[in-house]
Amino acid sequence: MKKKISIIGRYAAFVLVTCILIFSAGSIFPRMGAFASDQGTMVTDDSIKDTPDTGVLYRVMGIVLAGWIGIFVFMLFLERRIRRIEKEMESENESR
Amino acid sequence: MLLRLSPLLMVPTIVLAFLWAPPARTLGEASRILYFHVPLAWISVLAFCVSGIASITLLAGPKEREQRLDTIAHNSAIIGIVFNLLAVIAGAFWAKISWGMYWNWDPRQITIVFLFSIYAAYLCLRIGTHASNAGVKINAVYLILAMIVLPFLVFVLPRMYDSLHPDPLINRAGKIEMDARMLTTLVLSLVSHSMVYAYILSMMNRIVRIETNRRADSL
Repeated sequence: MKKKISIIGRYAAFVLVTCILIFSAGSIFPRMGAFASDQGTMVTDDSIKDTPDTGVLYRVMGIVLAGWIGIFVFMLFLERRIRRIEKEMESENESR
Repeated sequence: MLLRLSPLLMVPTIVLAFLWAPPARTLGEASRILYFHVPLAWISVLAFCVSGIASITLLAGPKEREQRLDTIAHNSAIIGIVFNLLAVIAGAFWAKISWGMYWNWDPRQITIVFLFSIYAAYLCLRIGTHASNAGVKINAVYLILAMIVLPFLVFVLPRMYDSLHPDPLINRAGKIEMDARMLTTLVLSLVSHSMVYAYILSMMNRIVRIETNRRADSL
């Protein structure tokens, strides 16, 4: 019974914290944004440029590459972990 | 072996996304996030479906396969959560560039975060219940229920309200109206992301399998 309550409590706490985070983020970000008055509007046609917007391009590249480097590092970590466990198993078998 | 090459397929994807595909007419250079934001969201949906299907098989199948299917369902849900979070982050950056703010209370933003919290709650449930034998089945039932909710959150609710998001790939008229180069890059990106997902899932499953065998050997 006690265990059940602790599971429900943990779940309820998680849902509560998530809701608080979502709603606080929703109320904080509009105030932080420099374009708060633009909420709910699309970029106007005046802002379209014929020449590539290198500032935006580099920012997008930075975001994408940072994300992908993170995923590659995680994949390498998994590979190394597999190799380490296999080596440990081999040495355990040899010592037996 | 083919899956091991999946990280390499990301290189041409990134090159095509930044050097070959043209920027979208109204979205400019920021539209290049599309080739990563959409596949990340797609993978998270795929991963959640895989975990749901593995859970159905777990409940319907023989007991010997329970452990293996539970591992697949759990690992797939974890990958789905991570990719879902990455899709939210990528989308927030895109929103900041295009709409001026990270968070706009757009129906798609809300539903994808809601989906994230449903699966994050699954992790809490699993931590609390995994030790018991019934826990495996409780987790499987939860993942099946989450999979039933998923299409409503991803495909139905966002289409019921006005959204800042552009039309989906297959638009309301049922057509794909996208530049051929953009479409090629997006399809390649979807394939490479799917392969990366399959590779990560296979590695995570392998780690659990090896560790289970090791524990069985030591007993």
